[in-house]
Amino acid sequence: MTRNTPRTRNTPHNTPTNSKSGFVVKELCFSYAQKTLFERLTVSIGRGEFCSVVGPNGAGKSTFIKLLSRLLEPQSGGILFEEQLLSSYPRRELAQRIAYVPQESYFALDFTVLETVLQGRHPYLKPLERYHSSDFALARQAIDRLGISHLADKGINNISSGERQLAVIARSLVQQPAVILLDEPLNHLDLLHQQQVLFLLGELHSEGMSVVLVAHDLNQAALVSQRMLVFAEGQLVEDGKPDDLLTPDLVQRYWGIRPIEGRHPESNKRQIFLPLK
Amino acid sequence: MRAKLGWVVLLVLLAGLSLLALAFGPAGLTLDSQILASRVPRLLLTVFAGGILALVGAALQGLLQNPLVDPYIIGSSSGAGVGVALSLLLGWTSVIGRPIFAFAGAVGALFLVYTMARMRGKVSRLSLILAGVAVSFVASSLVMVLMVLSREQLAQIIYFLMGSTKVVFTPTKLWVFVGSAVLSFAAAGRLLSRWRSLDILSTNIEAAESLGVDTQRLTTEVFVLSALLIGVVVAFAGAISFIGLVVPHIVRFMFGPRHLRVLPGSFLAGAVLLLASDLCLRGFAMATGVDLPLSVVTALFGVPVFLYIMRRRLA
Amino acid sequence: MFMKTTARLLLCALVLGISFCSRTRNTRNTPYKNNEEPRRVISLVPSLTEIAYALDAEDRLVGVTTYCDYPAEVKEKQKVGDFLSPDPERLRVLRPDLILLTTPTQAQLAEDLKAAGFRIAVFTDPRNLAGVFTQIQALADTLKVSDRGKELVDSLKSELKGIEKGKELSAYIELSEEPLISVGGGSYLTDALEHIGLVNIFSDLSQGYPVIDPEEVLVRSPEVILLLYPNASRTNVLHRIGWSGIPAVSNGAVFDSLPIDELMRPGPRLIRGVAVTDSLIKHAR
Repeated sequence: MTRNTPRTRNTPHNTPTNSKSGFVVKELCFSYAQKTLFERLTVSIGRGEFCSVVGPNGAGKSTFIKLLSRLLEPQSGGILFEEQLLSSYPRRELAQRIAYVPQESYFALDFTVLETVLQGRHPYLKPLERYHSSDFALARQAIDRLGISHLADKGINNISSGERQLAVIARSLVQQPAVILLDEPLNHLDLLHQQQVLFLLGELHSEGMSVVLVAHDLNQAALVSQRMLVFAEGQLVEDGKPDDLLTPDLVQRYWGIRPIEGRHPESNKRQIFLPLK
Repeated sequence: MRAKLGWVVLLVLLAGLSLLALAFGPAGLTLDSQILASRVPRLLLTVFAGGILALVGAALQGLLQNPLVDPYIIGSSSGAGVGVALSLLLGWTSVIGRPIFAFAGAVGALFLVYTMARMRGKVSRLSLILAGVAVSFVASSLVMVLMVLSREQLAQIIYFLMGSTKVVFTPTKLWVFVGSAVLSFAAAGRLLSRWRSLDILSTNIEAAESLGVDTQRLTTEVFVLSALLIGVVVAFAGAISFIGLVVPHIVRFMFGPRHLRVLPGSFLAGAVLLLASDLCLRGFAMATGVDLPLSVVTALFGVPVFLYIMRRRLA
Repeated sequence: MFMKTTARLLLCALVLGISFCSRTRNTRNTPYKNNEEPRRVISLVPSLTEIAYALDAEDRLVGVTTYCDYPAEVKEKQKVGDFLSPDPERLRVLRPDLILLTTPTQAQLAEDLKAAGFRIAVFTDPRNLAGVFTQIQALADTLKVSDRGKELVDSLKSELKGIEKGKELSAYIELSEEPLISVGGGSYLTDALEHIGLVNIFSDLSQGYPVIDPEEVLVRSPEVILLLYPNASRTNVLHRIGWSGIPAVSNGAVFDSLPIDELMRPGPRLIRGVAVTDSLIKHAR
């Protein structure tokens, strides 16, 4: 599989955005293990946007959203969040505004699903405070919304990995964040749950939440998001509407295979199909 | 309401065993003020040691996410051993000399472990365990060397390593102990206040961080508090084994994994277990004249219960 | 953990050794059977080393343990290690024709050395004064200086007779503070101190040096307390919580400046130690 040399393209996106809030990434440099990943990356994600982040493996997608959630610190350059330096936010306040859903979660202790989801209220509670009934209400609401109410009292390690992922998403909901960052959340989910989550993300977006979704599946990303950021080999190579980007040319350029193009029957949005040979 | 029943059982056991400890001994059931006065410090020490050991064991198992963690893994008991051996060697064994040396040794080991575990300004759970094990080994070897050098006190050092609550108190020592205990309770309280963070720490670090938990600071805090608490216990009661390892499992089995319950529950259960062991020890000594090491008795009690729980869990 | 296991093993060795003291019924006293006078003797027992010097037979000694520290001249003797695991190399290098050991403390070592081809002489750990005298004589016989042995024993015996036995007092002997270790019936000290009227409150225990429950001291209510360890503090004992009811404490009959070295070794200095102890106590009465 041959890869063409990526070209840096800073196409301004067309979606209306309030770029004063949200994330403003400026000249970000990040490297780890002697490997430089991002070099002077610059991009803005406005408030209320639904952005998908795609790219081949190793392109830096996970790293990107970890930087946005402050799980990693850049070597140089800065990130502004809601017009303030991301690094200046106190932890708890940041956790009240940004929620992060990791790719995989493990739980060493066997809390129930409800207890796990309740932990999302941590940023709002003082050290000695116990959970209030309002916290319980929010947790139950989130569990219902994710369709796992029947699992509320089950041990978190006694359910399937897909259901566990739903619990983790529910946990991030009770953080009542302004932004939700998800790292390939659909990986272990069966079709029903995948649809559920995508639908939920759409709902959250219409409620005003910013969503940044790292996705493996280009079709799903194209369906739900308004804006697509394509990363390849540590560079942001494409930035625009999914419908504009999801062309066989582009996919071949960055993923190395040439798909067959198509359209989604319901929304008429661009989709790609894998050729047999 | 298994949990509520559990609390009642533990409190009843604690009260009952405490009364028994005051009533039971070679002098029998007596109202002699002198005898009672000599039994009270032993009772206090036993409750304190058992409770704190179990509580720290629970906190460390939570922090290091490893159910096989024993509070001595962070090296402070071996450090205390070095302190005690040194105090014997140098002859500074005044009434409070030994506790001070033991505590100093524990704190010294703590510093060493923390410094070794720091990589690029951060400590990770794994590095703490590794550093703790390394320091324990070094300290143990050092104790061996000191044991060889201080021949007459060999028995004392060995006995210290076994742990014992049969300590004789003078008023000075009692005051020092009570003072240390009060400070320890403050430290334990601080640990308890971190219950929710400890809960959250049981998932991946990234998730914990994104929920607003400062994992670095929490790790350091729990580690330091644990080491100091262990230092105090070991200073007065030596290195009693098993309590810190086994009791948290029993408590989690009874109350579930939430640290809000597990930490105080472990304190109660640890105190109960050690009290029961101490009473058995006393009874055995009265009957046969043979003095068993306290750790042997705690193992005899703890291991079957532990195995039972493990089987239930794995079934 | 590693340290605890080794510590436990050591403690087991000590406990086993001490408990054997009380259960052994046959006295293994195998004097050197050869007719020749042993000329190159290694003593692995500090008390036997002292006795050898007291018998003026120290020229026979070619090796001693690191614990052998009396009399001062013993410094010049070759050290072969400690009394539980001496260095076999050093033993061989000295070409001994006899090695001295005691049972049961060094029972295993004796077997090992015998198997390694050394000639050994095993003496029984004395459990009373009579045993101490027997041991002196036995060593004298082994070194073929029986007459000097008899002399020494006789002089010690008369020294002992010279001590006027005072009124009988119950006594608690403390060998260690933390943990509380006392002297039991299995130790020669019990018998030795009885000769000066001090009845050990723990003489009913068959072990030599048992760890005891502090409350037992309160129950047994001794009239005298002897502190036989370095840095012992009389004031500490007087202040112990719950101990003020003990006659020894309320009368101040607690002694800390005692001849520990002499008393703690079942050798020729024992009698002198007993005598000194006696006068110290008499003074205080």
